[in-house]
Amino acid sequence: MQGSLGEFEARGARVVAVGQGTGSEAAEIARTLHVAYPCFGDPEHRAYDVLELGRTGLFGLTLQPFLEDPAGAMRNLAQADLKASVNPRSDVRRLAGVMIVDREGTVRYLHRSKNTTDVPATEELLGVVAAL
Amino acid sequence: MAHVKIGAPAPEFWVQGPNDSVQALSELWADGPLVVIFLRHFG
Repeated sequence: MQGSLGEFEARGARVVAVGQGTGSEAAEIARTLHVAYPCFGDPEHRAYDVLELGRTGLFGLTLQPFLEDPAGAMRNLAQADLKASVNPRSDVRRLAGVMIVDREGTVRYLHRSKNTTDVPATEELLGVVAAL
Repeated sequence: MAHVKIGAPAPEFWVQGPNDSVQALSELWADGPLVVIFLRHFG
């Protein structure tokens, strides 16, 4: 996503991230990882609950990613931050998601990850934005 | 619990900014399409 930020902006879209910690924790992670877009916090996971973003179990956290998507699992492992992982506000079992909302406030895209390596392709997201 | 669906109005999401100040995500999509990535966790 980071490398494609300009493509989203060229299509009039903004990109933001929401994580499970506080806003200041999100900002710190963004600085640490050199993330170019704003990162917000949702320490009580309310947005996650509203979007019904699921949780995985021990198998989904450990062996499943390596069986189903070894490359994706290795990417996740390479990017892991152990310090951030022990944040008490962060649920490591919580799965990710992506939502695109148009300027009228209508949900135009919603992806609820089925496992830890299930991430929509940037091209798919760009296609949705281009069609708005 | 709301059932968020494509084609439906997005619910309001209150998130925290860098100084832990509360912000409505709707303020951001009012300016144009907003792509929101919900991270697995910080790390």
